[in-house]
Formats: sequence, C-alpha cells, structure tokens
Amino acid sequence: MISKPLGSSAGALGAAVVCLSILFGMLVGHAWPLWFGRTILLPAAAASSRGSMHGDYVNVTTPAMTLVVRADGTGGSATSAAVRPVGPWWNDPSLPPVQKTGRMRGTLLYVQLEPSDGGDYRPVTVSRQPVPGAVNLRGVIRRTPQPDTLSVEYGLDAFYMKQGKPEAVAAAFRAKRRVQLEVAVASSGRARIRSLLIDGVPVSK
Amino acid sequence: MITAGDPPVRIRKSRLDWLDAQSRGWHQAGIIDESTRERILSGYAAESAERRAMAVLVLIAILLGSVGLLLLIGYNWDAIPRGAKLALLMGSVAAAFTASAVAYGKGREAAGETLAFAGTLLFGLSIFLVAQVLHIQGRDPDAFLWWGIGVFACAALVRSRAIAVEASLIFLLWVFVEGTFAEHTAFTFVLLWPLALLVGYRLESPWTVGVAAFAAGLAAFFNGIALSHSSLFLGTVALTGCAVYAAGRLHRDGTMMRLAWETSGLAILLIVSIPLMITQVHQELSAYTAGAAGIVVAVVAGGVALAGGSWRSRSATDQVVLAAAAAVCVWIALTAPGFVPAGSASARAATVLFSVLTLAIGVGLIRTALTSDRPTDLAYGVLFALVFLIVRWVSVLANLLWSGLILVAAAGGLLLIARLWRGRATAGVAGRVS
Repeated sequence: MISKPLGSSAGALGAAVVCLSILFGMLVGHAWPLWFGRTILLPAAAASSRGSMHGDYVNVTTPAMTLVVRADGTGGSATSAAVRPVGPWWNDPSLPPVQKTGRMRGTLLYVQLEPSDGGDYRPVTVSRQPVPGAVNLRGVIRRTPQPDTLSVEYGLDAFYMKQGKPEAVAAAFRAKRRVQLEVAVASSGRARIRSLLIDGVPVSK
Repeated sequence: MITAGDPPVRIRKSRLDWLDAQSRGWHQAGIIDESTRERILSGYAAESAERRAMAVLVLIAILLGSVGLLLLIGYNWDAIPRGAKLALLMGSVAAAFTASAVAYGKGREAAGETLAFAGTLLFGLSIFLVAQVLHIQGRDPDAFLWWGIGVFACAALVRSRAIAVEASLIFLLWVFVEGTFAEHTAFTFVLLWPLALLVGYRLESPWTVGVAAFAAGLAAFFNGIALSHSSLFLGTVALTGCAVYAAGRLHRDGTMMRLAWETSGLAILLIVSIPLMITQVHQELSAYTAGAAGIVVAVVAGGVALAGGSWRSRSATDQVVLAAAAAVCVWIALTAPGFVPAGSASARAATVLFSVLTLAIGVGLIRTALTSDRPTDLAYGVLFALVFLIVRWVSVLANLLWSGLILVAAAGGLLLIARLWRGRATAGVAGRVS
C-alpha cells in the first residue's frame, strides 16, 4: 500500500488521543475568551465580504488594527488610532527605522482600551506588557507601514456567516450605518468576536 | 525476488509477456537452458484483469463517495449548529483512528495505515475549521505547527513512514508560513527539528529525514533575513546547505540516509546559488553590515564543517562543496563587517566568485557521477550547470550574439555529458560481463 506498515491498535488509539487532545486544547484556547471574557464594543473602520475555502466571512477592521504611536497621542483618523507608548521600548535610539521594522514584525504587544462617549472602546496606550487594571487587547505586529505606525493583528478580522450574508454587512457599512464588533476580551488579553452589530442590533449568522 | 516453494508473484500481464519474450531470447542465445527459463517463468503469474478492474472501481467509488459526502456536509455546514459542527469534526478524527485500530487488530495493516493517514488529514482539516466555527481568522503558522506536531506523534505511534513523510512536509510548510508571517522561527525550529529527525531515523524513512533537512535551509533563510540584511543572510543559507550535505558523510556510502542528506544539502545550495550569482543582490547586501556575534558564529560553524569534512573527503563533489563552504566563510568575514567597501566592483567580484563556485559544483557532481555511477549526482550536476547558464544567459539576454553562443555551448555540453554517461555505462556493463 503506502509503505510497509508496522503499527498496532494501541498505536492508532494513541494517535487518536494525541490528535483529539490537541484539537480540544485549541478549542478551549480559542473559546476561553468567549466563556470568561469581558464583553466590549469596538467600532468597525471597514467591512468587506470575503470568501475562502473555510467559508464566507466579513473581513472587519477596527481602528485598533492600525496604531499611530506618538508620545503626544496625536495622529489618529477614522481608520487608525493614536496611542501613547507605555515604557521605554518604543523609543530605542540604537535601532534605525528599517532595522526596527524587521525586528518588530511578529512582536507581541498589548493595547489598552478605554470607553468613549459613544459607548464603544478606543485604544489609548500601547505596551509590551499588560497594564494592571486596564482592558488589555493582545495583538501581534504584522508590519510597520510608517516609522511611527504599526499594523497589528488580534485575530478579530473574520466573522464567518452563511453564504451571501457577509455582503449585507458590507453593504450596511457602505451605506454609513453604524457597524460594531462585539468582542470578548479575556484577562490574558486574547480576544474573540462574539457578534457583529449593525446600528446596535446583532446580525444573524 | 522468487524463492522455491513460494506461490507465484502476481505481476502485470504486459510485464509477464516481456519476461517471456526476453527469456526466450536468452534461451536462444544460449545464456539459459529451457528448464531454467521455465523455472524463472513459473515464479510469476499475470494479475487477474477482473481483480484489478474491481479494485479500480472500488477505489473510484470510495473517492467519489468521500468527495460527495464532504460536499453534502459543506452544503449544510452553515445550517449545522456550532456544537454539532465541533462534534462532527472531532468525531470524524476519532472515527478514522478507531477504524484504523480495528483494522490493525484484524491484521489488515495496509487498511489500518491508510485509515490512520486519513485521520491525520481530517485532523488538519479540523484544526482549520475549529477557527472558522469560532469566528477567528486564526494564525495559520500555529495551525500548521500543531498539525505537524500531531502528525509526527501519529507517525511515531502508528509507525508509518507515509505519515512521517506527510508530517515532515507539514513541518516544511510551517517553516515557510511562519517565516513569511513573523520571520522568527528559530526557537521553535531548534526544538522541533531534532524530533523530526528522530522520527525519521526511528522509522528508517529517508524521505522524512530529507525533507526535514531541507527545512533547515528554509529556516536559515527566514531567520537569516530577520538577523541581518547583510551577506550573513544568504551566506548562512549557503553554509547550512554545505552543513546538511556534510551531515550525509556521517552515514555509510550508498545508503539512502546519506543520499537524503546530500540531496537536501545540494537542493539548498542550488536554490541559494541563484541570488548569489546576481550582481544587484550583492549590491543590496553590501549596503548592510552584521553584528560581530552573528559573523563569528557563522564563520566558526563553517570552519568546523570545513575542518571536519576535509579529513574524510574523497569525491570531487565533496571537494567542491567544502571549497564552497570555505569561500562563503571568507566572503562573510570580509563583507558582513563592512571590510570591503560597498560598490559595483566588489559586487561584481562576488558575482564572479559564486558563478565560478556554482559551475564548479556542477562539474564536480558530473565528475562524481561519471566515476562512481551515481545518477542523482548527474541530475544535480546538470541542474547546477543549467542554473549557472540560465542566470548568466539572463544577464546577456539582450545580446543575441552572446545568447546564441551560450545556448550553443550549453547544448554541446549536454551532448558531451550524455555521451560520457553512455560511454561510462557501456564500459561498466563490459567490465561486469568480463
């Protein structure tokens, strides 16, 4: 057949235990924020309909995914958030910008969120360690499009829905309706999307 | 091989007809007598056409049924509740391995291994779909990492070489995806690589070892670029290729494990030789310098490989690979700290150096192939020579005269190699007959 087999029943059952343990561990790891996390709302900065082999989904971005890091906390826009760095990690003068870009890719960081007047949460500061007492959102730097700008991934950019439904969310966003992400944030900073809201109403999947 | 008393070996009818015709010719030429011919032929029997047709039909039916089932599940996937989806995913993995265990228990080892193989594929599918069920994009490198770890464990537990090869391919994929995602694979790679090799050796699977060895070159590429954009980056990849090739020397000559290491080392060297023969790449690299620690580690590692290999080197290939390791060490030591001023002259000199090295490796391999009757070396030798020709040809593509001359020279070279190989084979046959 494929190769000369040497296995046994016990080996196959052992393999099943290993695979199911990994799957179960991943399941718990992914679902943990949904079970025990604090629920917050994040504004959507963009929403588009996508399809992949996994299924159709809404690709959502929030201003926290593009951070403009400045000591005075200025420079944000509708699609990016201005944050202040916490700690000395950001202003390391020994690294030139290009080297800094290469070294920071893949780096873990925590974004501290505070509620805005509209009820949703906005990034205010960014740090390499969680800040006690704050709502910390754990992310990984994907790239640095500008020397003071970080593109950060939180695992919040896909919301899977039935075929054709994601387009309705994208259309609502294009029609300037208020789209928000209902997100569960665990104490570790890991976050998962609970649902999407259009004008404050959860969309059906 | 046939043994007296064993039932006849089933082979295709066309192959049996060929053996019948050949043995008749041997009999007529006086090489064998009629009774020997009959004894040889009695060891083989033609496969039953009905049996083969039935096996093909059953295989097609299983394939169509599996695809159809997956499509039906896919069609209803959105309508299935989250808990049921998760149960379906985990249940399918459990079912595949349970069926595998039952098959092993009944002594049907091929079926057991096939079902376990299917279980590892379902396991990978489940990892990706768990993310979908929970509305997360997921971090693809982590998915490949856990899939690879699980499949390596399965290979070791089920003792399947096929699953081990699958695991090493997933491991290679992980190095690539992680490298493009974050570039920081070093720590996890250092932990997992020995385990991958261990499984490969335990199962005596040269393919598993070969793919894992090649992954070292890919890891060197991604970690090198994260470490420095200087010559240390591509130099580390080239030194890794030399080291992987040298690791083959720890095995007895002619073994598959040795071939696996040597082939992977040569594959790494072949790929990295392409950018190293391009002047613009050297101009880019010369704009950067590397830290002293990285340079010292690379040069010392290259020096150790050089010293260790040179004592026992025998073939022309060994000599040129060691020469390449020495040249790369010198090149890194001179360019990475910035001792050689950046400019077109130094970039051109490096281009010439690596072009000569690539051609020398090609010639060394072809020479070894001709003297030691090694087709793999011949294939790699021709590949190195072709890569050299193509890269150099591209640099003079606009010049029709040079393009024409290079292609005519290449054609002549290939015909000469073919003639030498044929001559070597004829001499070998004559030598064996006499």
